[in-house]
Amino acid sequence: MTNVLDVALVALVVLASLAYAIYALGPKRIKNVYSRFATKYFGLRAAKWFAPSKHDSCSNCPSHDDHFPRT
Amino acid sequence: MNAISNSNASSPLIALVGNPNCGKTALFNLLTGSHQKVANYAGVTVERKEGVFTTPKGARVRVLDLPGVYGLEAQTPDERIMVDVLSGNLSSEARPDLVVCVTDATNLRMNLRLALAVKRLGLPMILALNMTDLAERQGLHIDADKLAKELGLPVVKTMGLRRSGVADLLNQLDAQASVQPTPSLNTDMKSSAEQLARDHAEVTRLLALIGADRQRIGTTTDRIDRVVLHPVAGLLILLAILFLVFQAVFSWATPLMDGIEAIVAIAGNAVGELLPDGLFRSLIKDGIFAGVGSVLVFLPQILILFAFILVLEESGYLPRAAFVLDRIMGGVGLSGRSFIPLLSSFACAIPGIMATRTIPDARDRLTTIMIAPLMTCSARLPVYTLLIAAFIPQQSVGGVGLQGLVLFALYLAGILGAMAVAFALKRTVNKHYVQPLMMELPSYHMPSVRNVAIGLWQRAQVFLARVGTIILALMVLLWVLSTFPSPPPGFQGAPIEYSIAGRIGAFLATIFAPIGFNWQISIALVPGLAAREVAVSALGTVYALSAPDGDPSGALMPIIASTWGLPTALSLLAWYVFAPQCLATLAAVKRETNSWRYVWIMAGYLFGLAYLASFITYRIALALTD
Repeated sequence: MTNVLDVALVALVVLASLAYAIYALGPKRIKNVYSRFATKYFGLRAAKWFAPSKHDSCSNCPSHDDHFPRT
Repeated sequence: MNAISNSNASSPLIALVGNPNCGKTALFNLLTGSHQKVANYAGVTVERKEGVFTTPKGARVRVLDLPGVYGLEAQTPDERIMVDVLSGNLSSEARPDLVVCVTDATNLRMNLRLALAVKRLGLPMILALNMTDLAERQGLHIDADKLAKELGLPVVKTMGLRRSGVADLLNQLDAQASVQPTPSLNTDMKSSAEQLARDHAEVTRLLALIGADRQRIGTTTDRIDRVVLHPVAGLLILLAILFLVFQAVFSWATPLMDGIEAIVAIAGNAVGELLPDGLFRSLIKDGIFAGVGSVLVFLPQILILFAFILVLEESGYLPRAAFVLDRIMGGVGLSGRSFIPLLSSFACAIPGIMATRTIPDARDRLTTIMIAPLMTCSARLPVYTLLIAAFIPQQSVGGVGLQGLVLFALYLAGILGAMAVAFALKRTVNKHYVQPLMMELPSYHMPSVRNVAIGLWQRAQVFLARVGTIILALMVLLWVLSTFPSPPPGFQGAPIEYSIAGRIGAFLATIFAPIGFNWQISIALVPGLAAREVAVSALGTVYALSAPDGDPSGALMPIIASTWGLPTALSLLAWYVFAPQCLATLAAVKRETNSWRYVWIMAGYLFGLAYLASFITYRIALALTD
C-alpha cells in the first residue's frame, strides 16, 4: 500500500469517526445541523437517519427523547 | 363525524387508558407490532408512546399508550400525561377520537372505577377485559355481554400475551366506524366524594350482576406471598436470588466469553496479516480490534444478568422485593416509591431517572434522581468483571465462588452508598416525613419466553449498537491521539508516551497518583466519560499501542494482571462504584430537573465520593499487601 493510500484511508476513517462522535455526544442543535445537511444533500430519506424516532423509540437512548413531555 | 373513520385530516387517534399494570403496553405491542418494555408491576410506562396499525377493514389508526392511573386526578408527572391527553389540554396533541379502557379482568373492583370516570368524559369508548385467560383460571367467568349492556359500551375480551388476543378488539374498532361521539365533551376531570361513592356502589352492583364479586382467597399468589413477604424469610429469599444472579454471571458466561475472545483474536490476526505494515494496519489492529474486541467479550455476562432481571420482572416478584425492602429504605429517608426507579437503574440510570416521574413529592423525586447513578448499571459490568477476573482468584470460599462474591459486594457497595447519600440528604436538605409505600402487588405470572427473548434481543442490540457506533468512533479517535505525534528517532520507551494521549495521561496521572492510577488508566478515564464500558476498550487500545514491539500479546486481562498491583485494581473498582462516568446520565438529569444546577451538584459529589473511596481503598490495600 502506498503512503498516500495509507494516509487517505486513515483520514477517511478518522474523519467519519469524529463526525459521528460529535453527532452522538453533541447537543441537540448539532443533530439538527446534521439533519439539515442530510436533507439538503441526500434527501428526506437520509434525514430520517438523524431524526429522533417517533415510534418504537428506545427510551434508554437520550437521542430519542425529543417528544418526552417536560416535567 | 365517525369515531374511527376520519375525525381529522390525519389518521384517527386511539388512546389506551387503564390502571397501572393492567396490560396496556402488552396490547399496544400486539396492535402495533412494536416491542415496548412490559413488566409485571405498576409504573413501567411513564411517557406517552405512539404507534400505528391497520384494522382488518383497512383503516389506518394511530394509537397512544399512556401511563396507568387509578383516577383522573393527576398527582404525579406520569399521571398528568394521561389526564392531559384525555382532556385535550396538550397543544401538541389532539383529543383522542376513541378511548380503549383496558381493565385487568382479575381485579375488576379497582379497574371499573376508572372505566366509569373515563366514560363520563363522553369520548367514544371500548372496554377491554384484559387477562381474561388468567381470570378464567382463577374461576372468574365474566359475562361480557351483560357488562356491555349495563355500561352501554362495547366490551371485548383480550389477552395481551397472545397474538390472537386482540382479534375481537380489532373487529370492534372497525365496528366503531359508525359510532357518533357525544356532541359536547366533558373536560372536568375532578370527581367529588359523592361521585366516588356512587362509582363504588355502581361497581359493586356490576360485579354482582356479572358474577365477578367473589373474593379470591387462598390463590397460589397468596400462598407464595405468605413466604415471600415474610419479614425475615422474604429478606433471605431476596438475598439468595441476588446472590444466585451474581454467581451465574461469572460461572455461566465463561465458555461463551472465551469463544468470543478467540474469534476476535483470530479475526484481528487475520486482518493484521492481510494488511501491509503501516498506519491503516495499526488503526485496524491496535485501535479497532484491540479496543472494540475487549468490550465485546462481555456480551454474555450482560445477557445473563438481564435474563434474570427480565424473568423477575415478568414473574411479578419485583414489587414484592420493594415491599420487603420498604422498611430499610424508609429508615434512610427514601420513599417506597423510589424502589422501582432505583431498580430500573440497575439496567441503566437513564430509564431509572425517568421512572422517578411516578414519585409525587418533588423532594423525594430529586433525592431518588441524585442517588440513581449509584445503582450498578450494566455498563459497569465489563469494568468489574475484567478487574475481578484479572485479580480475584477463581476459588471457592465455603462452597461459594469468590469472584461472584466480590461482584455481589460491589453491587452492595453501590446500594449502601446510595442509602448513605439518601440518609445525608434526609438530615440536611430533605427534612420531612417519609411517604408511605402504596403499591399494588400483581398476581404471579409464569414468565413469557417470548417476552424474555425479545428483552434479551433488545439488550444485545443496544449493546452491539453502542460497540459498533460510539465505542468504535471513540476508539478510532483515541488511536489518533495515542499515535501522533510520532516520537523522534532514538526516543526511549513506547511511542504512545510521546503522543498527545500519552502527555495527557502523564498530566492526569499526577492527579490520580494518590489513588494508585497509572497513566494508562488516566487516559482510559477520559473517553470513559462518554460511557463506562468505553474505559475497557480504551485500556485495550492504550495497552496495544504501549506494547514494546507494537504487537500486544492478545487479551487485555493478562496484561493488566501482570502490570497492575492489587491495590490499583481495587482502587479502580471503588472509583467505578461512585464516579459518574456517563454523560448521557447527566443529560437525563438536566432534562428531568430542567436545571444545570443539579447536574453540577451530582457530578461534583459523585466524583468527590469516587476519589475518596478510591483513596481509602488504595491506602488500606497498600498497607495490607506491603
